[in-house]
Amino acid sequence: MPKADRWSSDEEEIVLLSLLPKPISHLDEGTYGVVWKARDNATQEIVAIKQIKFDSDMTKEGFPISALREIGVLLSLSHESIVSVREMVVGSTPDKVFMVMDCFEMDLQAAMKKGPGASTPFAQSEVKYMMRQILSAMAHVTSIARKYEHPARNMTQMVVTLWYRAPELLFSESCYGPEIDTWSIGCIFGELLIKEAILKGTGELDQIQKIFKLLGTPTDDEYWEQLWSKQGSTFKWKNNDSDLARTFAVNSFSATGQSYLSPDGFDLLSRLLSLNPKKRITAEDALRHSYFSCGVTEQVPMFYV
Amino acid sequence: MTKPDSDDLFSIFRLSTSDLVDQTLVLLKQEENPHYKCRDYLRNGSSSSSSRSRVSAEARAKVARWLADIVDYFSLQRQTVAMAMSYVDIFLSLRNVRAASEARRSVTKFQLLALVCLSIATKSLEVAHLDVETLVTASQGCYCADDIREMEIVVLNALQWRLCAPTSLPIAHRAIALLTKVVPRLANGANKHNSITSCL
Repeated sequence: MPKADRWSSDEEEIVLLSLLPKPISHLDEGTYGVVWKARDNATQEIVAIKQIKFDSDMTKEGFPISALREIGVLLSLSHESIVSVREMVVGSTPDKVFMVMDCFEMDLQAAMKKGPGASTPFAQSEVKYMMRQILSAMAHVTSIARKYEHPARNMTQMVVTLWYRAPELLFSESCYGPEIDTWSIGCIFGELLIKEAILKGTGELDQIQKIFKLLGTPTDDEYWEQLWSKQGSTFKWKNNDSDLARTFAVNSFSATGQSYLSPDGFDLLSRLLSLNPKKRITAEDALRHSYFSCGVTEQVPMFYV
Repeated sequence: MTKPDSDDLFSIFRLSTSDLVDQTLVLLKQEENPHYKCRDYLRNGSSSSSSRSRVSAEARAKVARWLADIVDYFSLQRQTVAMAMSYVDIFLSLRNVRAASEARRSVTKFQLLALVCLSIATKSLEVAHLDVETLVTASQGCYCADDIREMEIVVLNALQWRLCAPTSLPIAHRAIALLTKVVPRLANGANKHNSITSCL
């Protein structure tokens, strides 16, 4: 069993990393946990150590189910674009559980904000490279999840950071599949293009309004009509037309602060950000999209060098 | 036993032959994963009497039946017992873990291990879960809540959180489905596949 003194962490070296852009509320911080950078004294390698956080009342029933399943899934993943979990370590008391992972210099958001050339947009070839990495990682996760599918996935709606949360989750749909993840990838795609989160809601209601403002209110949509009538909703949403084409300029070199976007790229973006989850493109299909097979070839982004 | 299983048998029987072969291979490959390695701890050749395993085949079977009783009472899946017993076997196979050698020597510790493994399997497979109070009751007061919580973290740590351990049931289901495709004559007999679920 690994000993706790195998890893040393210099207090000053502690870096707060998070898998998704900055946690917005205290609850989010709880779900992601804090990550330290540390040195493995046995191999001298630099690793990232994430503490699985849980409240004392959560441990009344022993190790929390959500954390148990998350760890199980992460351990079963193995993909070049997914951070790999090296091992799990238990500290001096049972509530101190750590996940030892490969360490990376920066996460995507840090790369966008601090990397070389941070003030200029990414080249289309770089965006394409990153999008393929993200999508192929997601396709891998989906295939693993299918293998270990649990009878019912009764999770709360508080599962994804607000800005990346799919619209159906905001309407308390509790049963969902991989479509919510492809929505998040659509948000990240937009963010890579303009180097800024595209849907920065200040709360759940505001988030819905921002989504409908960007993508139009889903009128005449079977899925949304069903969902709203099921919930007995009488609330009338302001009728908007989609603003997506105006927000993301296609074939334009003059668009200020935006990466060049081909018509194929715009098509993929709009399919990822489909309001109807049933019509949203899957990660596998997205990888087969003409965006990746036509136009400029992919290129490793500057900050990797 | 006609209890529904985690594997939806109906859909397994409708899979194509190549899908069945693929799935069976994945399941078989899982057994080779070093994390799920098992040794025959029931018949260990240790010479010193102090470290000899007191867990016999009978004791193991008895404990498996006990877990099955609990699972049936709460209308959970039998597959959960199979998974729990898989954790028990992997844990008892560990050589350098103190709690594992204790569980091999002491019947009380062995039963606690089985109960905790059932709880972990329930957490990872079932929608409902058995709360600690229920487990205390199931042990008829043999163990207190703290015993269970402490043992749980020891077991999780020893298993290195690898909780997708292989069990024979999913492989058996696919093997039967494959056979019925290859030998159509067997198809009628396959209706009796439910009886397999009750043999662990």
